[in-house]
Amino acid sequence: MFWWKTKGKNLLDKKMQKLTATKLFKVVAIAIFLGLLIFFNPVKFFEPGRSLLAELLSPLKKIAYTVAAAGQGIGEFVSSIGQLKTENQTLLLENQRLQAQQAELQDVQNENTALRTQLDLLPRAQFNLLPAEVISQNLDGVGNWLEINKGSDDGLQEEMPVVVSQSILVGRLQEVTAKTAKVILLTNPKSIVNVATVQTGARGVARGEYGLGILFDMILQADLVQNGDEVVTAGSGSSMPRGLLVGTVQNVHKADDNLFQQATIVSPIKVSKLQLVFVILSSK
Amino acid sequence: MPKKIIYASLILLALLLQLSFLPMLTAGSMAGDAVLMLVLALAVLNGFEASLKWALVAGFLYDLASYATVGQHMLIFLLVAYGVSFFSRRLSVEVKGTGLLFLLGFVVLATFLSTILTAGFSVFSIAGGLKFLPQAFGSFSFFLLQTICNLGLLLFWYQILRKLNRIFL
Repeated sequence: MFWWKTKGKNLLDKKMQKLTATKLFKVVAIAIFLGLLIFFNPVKFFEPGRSLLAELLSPLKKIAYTVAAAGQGIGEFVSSIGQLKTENQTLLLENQRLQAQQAELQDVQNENTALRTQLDLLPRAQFNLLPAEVISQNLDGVGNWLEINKGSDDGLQEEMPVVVSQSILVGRLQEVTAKTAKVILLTNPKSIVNVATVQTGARGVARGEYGLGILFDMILQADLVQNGDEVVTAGSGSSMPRGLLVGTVQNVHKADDNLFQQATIVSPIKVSKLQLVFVILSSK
Repeated sequence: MPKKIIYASLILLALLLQLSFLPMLTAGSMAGDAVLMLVLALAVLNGFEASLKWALVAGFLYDLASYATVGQHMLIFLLVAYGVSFFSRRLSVEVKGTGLLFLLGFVVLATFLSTILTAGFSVFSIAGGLKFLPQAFGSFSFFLLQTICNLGLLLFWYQILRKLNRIFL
């Protein structure tokens, strides 16, 4: 009886040894461990590692990004036969400037009206800005972020807005390490910003659509929104200042639930080409 | 020892390519994944056992460097390495002659796995519900573009690894 039990146990041990030595067992065991890691997501535990890697990689990323920018410039130069490139860039910058100026002029025009009271837009160029270089990016699919070479050592904190040309909103800071910070873009599904149109004061939220664009959502049916209206941040209920340009309205339609209106917001900036952005530290 | 240094350097290079160099060079139209394709090339050339730890290291560093949830890319790379091993055995793959077809098959498999899992993680973390999964996955044309870019990247890594293996290992 004892002999049979011992033999049985040995057989079981051998079978277990065989099983644990298989690839499938290894894969399943590691996958379960990783699944638990993802589920519990101990962000704080990995923060020092993330911060250290960001610090180590930051100079290399900056070099890679700068070299790529030069390469992109050469490619554009060849493809656009020189002059077109310069013209295109000038027009793009001019377009951005004019759009920002147009929004600003519209604000000034509305200054003494009831709309001004409603929106209470902050005058532009009245923020303490910190310039930062973009060192990496992920724009495809669901990622939608930029990484900048400034971090908590430079006074940055989560939720701070990031702009270009002083008044066009790019996104906001989501994760800040000592030397770098992650900017989630307006097209990121995690991004939700309170916005309003400059022309009519129609309010709603701008939310990211998995990298596909920006949706102007939750607009009341009674509010008037038209194609071409400029959308600015409304500021209510967040650390986002009012009056930052988000983009222009396109394709206004009723939401599926018929309770609200929706529209697409087209941003005037080409995020993939950004090399320098500004973080709004505070209002002056 | 040289193997460890070479593979670690390649992973860092892949991270720099993926996160900084290629997105800027291609003005955001780059759809492939340089790190995923490096792991795939390692798995094809070295087999499951030899590539497992490098797949996990690459995944871990990728998760940290790309601000993703730690474990996300590790899990994807683990499954990709196992998938290559699984199909290689059953299809008796010799990466010669018809090798390119098998490589293409692996690229499609890895791209699909990576895209669907990343979309799943995204939907899960944002709590948007499964109805957003197709939106997070993206269109078929985007998947096709990803696959083509990934095939180019795989061939790039494959050639580099083969040469390095011959010279140093």
